[in-house]
Amino acid sequence: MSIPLTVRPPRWLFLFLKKFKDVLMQEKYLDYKTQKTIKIPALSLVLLVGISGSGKSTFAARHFNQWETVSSDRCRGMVSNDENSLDCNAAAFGLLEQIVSWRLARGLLTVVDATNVQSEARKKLVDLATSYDVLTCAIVLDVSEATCQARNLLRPDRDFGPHVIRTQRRQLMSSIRGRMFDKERIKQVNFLKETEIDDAIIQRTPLFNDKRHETGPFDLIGDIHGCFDEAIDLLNQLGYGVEVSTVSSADPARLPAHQLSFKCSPHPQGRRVIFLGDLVDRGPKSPHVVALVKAMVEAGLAFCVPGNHDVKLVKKLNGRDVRMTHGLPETMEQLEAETPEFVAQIKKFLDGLTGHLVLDDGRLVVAHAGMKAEYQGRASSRVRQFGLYGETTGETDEYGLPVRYNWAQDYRGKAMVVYGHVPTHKIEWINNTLCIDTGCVFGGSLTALRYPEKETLSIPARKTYYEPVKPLAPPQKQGQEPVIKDDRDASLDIQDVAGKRVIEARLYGGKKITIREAHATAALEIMSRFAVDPRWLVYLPPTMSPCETSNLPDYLEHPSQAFEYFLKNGISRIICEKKHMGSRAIVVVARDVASATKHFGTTPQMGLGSIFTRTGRQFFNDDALQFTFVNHISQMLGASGLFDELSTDWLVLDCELLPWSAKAKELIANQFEGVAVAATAGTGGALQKLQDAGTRMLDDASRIELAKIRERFAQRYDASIKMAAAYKPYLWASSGMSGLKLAPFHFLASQGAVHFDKGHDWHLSMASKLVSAQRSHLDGPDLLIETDHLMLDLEIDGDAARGIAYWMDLCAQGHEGMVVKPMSFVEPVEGDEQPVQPALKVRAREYLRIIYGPEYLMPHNLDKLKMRRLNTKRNLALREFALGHEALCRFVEGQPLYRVHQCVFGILALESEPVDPRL
Amino acid sequence: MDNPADELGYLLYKHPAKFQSFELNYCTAHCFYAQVSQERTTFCLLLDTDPMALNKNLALQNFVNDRPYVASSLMSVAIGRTLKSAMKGVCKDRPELGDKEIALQAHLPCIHLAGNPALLKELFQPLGYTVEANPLYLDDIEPGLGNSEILDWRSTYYSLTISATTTVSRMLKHLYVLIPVLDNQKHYYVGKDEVELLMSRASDWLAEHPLKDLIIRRYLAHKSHLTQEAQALLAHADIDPQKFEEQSKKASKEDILEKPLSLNQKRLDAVLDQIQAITNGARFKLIDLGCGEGKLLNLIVERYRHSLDRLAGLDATVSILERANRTLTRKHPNQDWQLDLMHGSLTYRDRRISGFDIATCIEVIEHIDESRLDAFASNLFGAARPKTVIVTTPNREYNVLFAGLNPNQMRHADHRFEWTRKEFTAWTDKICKIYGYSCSIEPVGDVDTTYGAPTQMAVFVSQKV
Repeated sequence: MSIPLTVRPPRWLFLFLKKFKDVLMQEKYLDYKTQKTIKIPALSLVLLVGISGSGKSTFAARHFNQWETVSSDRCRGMVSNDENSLDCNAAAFGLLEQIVSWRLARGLLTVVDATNVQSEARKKLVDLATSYDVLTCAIVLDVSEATCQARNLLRPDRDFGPHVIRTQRRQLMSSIRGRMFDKERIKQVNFLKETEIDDAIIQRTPLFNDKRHETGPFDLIGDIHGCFDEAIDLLNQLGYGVEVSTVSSADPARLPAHQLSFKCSPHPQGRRVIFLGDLVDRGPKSPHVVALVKAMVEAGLAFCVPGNHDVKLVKKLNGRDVRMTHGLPETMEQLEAETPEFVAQIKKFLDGLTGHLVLDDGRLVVAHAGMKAEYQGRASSRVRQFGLYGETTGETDEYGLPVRYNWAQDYRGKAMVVYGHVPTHKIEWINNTLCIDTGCVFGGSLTALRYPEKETLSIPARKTYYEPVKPLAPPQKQGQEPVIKDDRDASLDIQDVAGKRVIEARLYGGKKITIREAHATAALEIMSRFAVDPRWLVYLPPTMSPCETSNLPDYLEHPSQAFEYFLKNGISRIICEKKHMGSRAIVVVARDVASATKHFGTTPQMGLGSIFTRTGRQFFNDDALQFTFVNHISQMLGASGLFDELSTDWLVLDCELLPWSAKAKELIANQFEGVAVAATAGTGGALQKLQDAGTRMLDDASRIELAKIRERFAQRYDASIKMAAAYKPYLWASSGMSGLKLAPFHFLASQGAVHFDKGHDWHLSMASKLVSAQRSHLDGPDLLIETDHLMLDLEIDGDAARGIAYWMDLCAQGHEGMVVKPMSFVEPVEGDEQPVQPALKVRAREYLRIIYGPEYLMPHNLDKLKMRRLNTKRNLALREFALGHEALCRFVEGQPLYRVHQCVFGILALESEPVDPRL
Repeated sequence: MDNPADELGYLLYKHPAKFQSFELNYCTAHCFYAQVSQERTTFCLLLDTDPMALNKNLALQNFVNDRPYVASSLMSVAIGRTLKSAMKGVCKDRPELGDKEIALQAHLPCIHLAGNPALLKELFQPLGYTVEANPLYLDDIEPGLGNSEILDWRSTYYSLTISATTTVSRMLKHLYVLIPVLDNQKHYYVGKDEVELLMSRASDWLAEHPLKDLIIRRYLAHKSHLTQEAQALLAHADIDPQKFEEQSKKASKEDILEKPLSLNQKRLDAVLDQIQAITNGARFKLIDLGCGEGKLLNLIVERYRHSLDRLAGLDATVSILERANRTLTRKHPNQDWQLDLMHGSLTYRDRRISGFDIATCIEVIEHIDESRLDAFASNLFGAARPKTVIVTTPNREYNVLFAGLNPNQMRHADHRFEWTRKEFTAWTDKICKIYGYSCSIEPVGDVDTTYGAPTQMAVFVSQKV
């Protein structure tokens, strides 16, 4: 609302207005209408400028939502309990600026409702916006002092004197007269007269770079640099069918660009091209390339972002003094054959290009030299500069070229970023970013990336048009090892793993798994000191819970409880697998070195793969043995045809490696052999003396007591001997490959697939094929073994009994026991229900002596042990299982290493949660 | 025993016709006679432990452990409780027996020995005992039961028999003190009164014992303040606390090996001198990577406190960092420079380690898997880019000069590699080439003409401006 008053009203009028406020407020008394439309960028900082009482808050409430407006009065209230307090300005504006910062960091339009009449106050906010690469615009509510004085009189809380308003008005007028807004770099200033305020319309316009509604598919093409012929070839190969026609009958290959015309028809699949800039310079036909791109953009078949060379050309054409280097002279020479109109047109076209584009709902970002996450979708000269040139560290390399800041290594954004600018001999994904400048003009190739398919297509350069300063491929002298800088795994940052983290795992319908800070801290030490190269570490196995405690008198664990558990959860088809007593081993293995380097980003020296323990440690201390081992498995996978059958160049296998003594010698010696010796000698020695004493004359009470204790020690001695015998079957001599056995039981993942969706019968049949392949290679090592198992349907009478008998038999043979799993591998979950355990172990009675101590079966002990609780263990098992699955999924999808590593690190962190280690 | 049984009965206050049991903490002690004759009388003190209760009450980390089965400090406590008067040498009914020397033999069917097997004899022989000790193996109990061959295991468990003509009281006191010393652990909290207890049992024989320091240290659970007190009481003299602190430190293999050279000190001195040469009095910011307990950091503060702008340490182990923090803040409470101790690892890129003039990396790289050194180098030399980096690492060639080190063995169990001078040079050359540093390598420690110095130190200086 506005009340037009032009002269300073007398005091009685204020009193009158105050009395009849309610009547006057009614709409019918105020009908001045002139509509004015204000356009503001959809992401901007909007400063409302106006003196107290000019109606800023009312205006803000009408045009912006409650969260978008940050009001200085509200901030005053929050820090002082009084909206009008003037002695809390520092705190209030501190708070206001903090809120503005947080909002701008998140890319949210923000309106500052404060008088903003002082230049210094505005400057601070503009600087804040600039630091977040957000544009600032101002809306000035030009309301007369008299009106404001009148309104403030109506508000009992505004008890500051009229001089305050007067001062504010003076400050505002001087800002306007002194063109302060321009000096403050406020890009857009909108004045609203008193009469226009009520009916003004605010229109939010998307930024030029906001192409989120364009969802593709796209074909992205890197630096062309005047390589017109290659560009045409590539476009045609991509299916664009570009026809170059000419008015004259002359050979179009020799004509200047302005004499050509391009016929571009829409791509049959509706694809469009995105040119990544540097259309010009160095190459033979820069004008032609610009003309082609311009034609395609104007036909709506392409987008284009500018490159540094394009911008430099525009500067030159604008008459600016730029250095005639890096291929610009060639372009200028080529332009001499063109008409001035043509030159003007391409200048206009290049000048009008937007620095970077955000496409496909924010999933794809393109710019010539890349774009950091915090700059995406923002507009500032800094953002534009980054898009054109990237950032340099200020250093120069041995060729005198600036050292570029490797922003891609630090990139943790969600959007895929595709860019050019830096010619490279091989293209590689780094953290979801890809540089596709393959140096066509330098004799490399011209490359397109198909989006969203992530496939590349390259056309080799017809010749080397321009000699590069720095060779495309690293120099390689004869007979000398090339110095290879291997920093792919160095792309992991401490911030990727340290501290509390929530990981969303897709198994079981997007479970959020929290990794607590203390556990991450514990995992950091293990991971950094002991784990294998993170590029191999694409999975770690989850912990496994035992079955519920048995209610049979002599058993702690018994298959009945495992069967009951699965039946209770509606699963009758299960598999019982013999539990190999060795060490868990994860085998990551590629078909050949080229596959390994391609899929895992490893160096050739790192070989075909890796084998590591459940905590990510290299399995064999001896590198040579590690190599031989992995090579053998790769060879057997090749011989079995499994690489081909699964159409993959690599596999991740979950296995058990035997014997236990191969890996755990020291542990077994200290923890078991030593205890067994002490137990047998200690209890044996005691028993001997108790027996001696039995032959002596004792009083009656003592004789009875002695007999009792003697019996007890006889049992303890027996238990100690049994404990010593319990782990004996798991030890045998092995040296090098000989004596080792590997039982693969899960074929976890291969190219394009995580095999958690296949039943255990499938997994075991894969293992069986692998073992058969080894059988026909009689001269090779006898390493691989199958996993003995029994498939059951618990709804069939007698199947449970068969399962129990199977287990009893395994126990009798001295095995560790068995693992019971749902046949389907993973059972789907509906809604909020707790997922079913992927596996339960049922351990043998004798085996448990090495877990719970030799004497655990003695009645008094067993009763206590039966009180154990499994909840924590089971929760852990599910979370780790889901994280392992997530890690593999991310790896298979080609997600950045840090995204895979976070899951694996999470598993290790969860493992440091306190849980009864005997479970 | 040559003496009649009833004499032993009187001395021990235990009736030969009775089987007696006493409830103690975590176990029951049974007292009985296995043999009574004119020639030989055998009294048995048997500890009947409840393994589960023991695990729970002593909060033992490993659920499967030897504590229920070996003679340990539990046995000492049991001796103290059940044979108290006998140990004092008081015989109420037959006072003349109290200090009568008789032929005695003590048999412990299973003890755990921490340390060198020679220790068994060294502990008991100076006290006048004949010692018979046999290592225990499962195969001796039942042939074929044991796995020591597959496991390359040498038993640390022994059956021990000691014999001497002495008083019952003296023998009991010896056993009381020396059983936990053999085992080198105690099942209860060792506090101040433990010193008195030790004095009351050992003041008359310990002072003369050649291994008295070891006995005191082990008996008092390696607590240096208690050890000093006991030493003082025993010697009736003041002692140099510095010396004892050094002695009571748990010596790792590397420490022992390199001790004659005091190599660690030489190394630190060499690093400090380098810092002097680099900074030449100018103010600087320094980070010690793999700072451990902060030994180097402390020396740097002591020497350069006036030219320090910022001091930082990075380590992968939190508990060690906490210790470093305690030490450094205690020793240097009023610092006007900034101290940051950070938990981290150089196998991850870390912005916090950027912006330093000097980074030191003292005996660290050999603890990193060789395959991860590229990541380490990229994060340190590529990303953090300190102006100067000082790296020290062992020179493997020198190992032949260490007595007690087998060929192919490394100086520390956690060393992932040890490099020859040539290998180290190859590595530094590679770093310089890739990351634009220049490097000089210097020997640290006594230089052998054939094998070089025990430690090699590289000083990298960034060539980029």
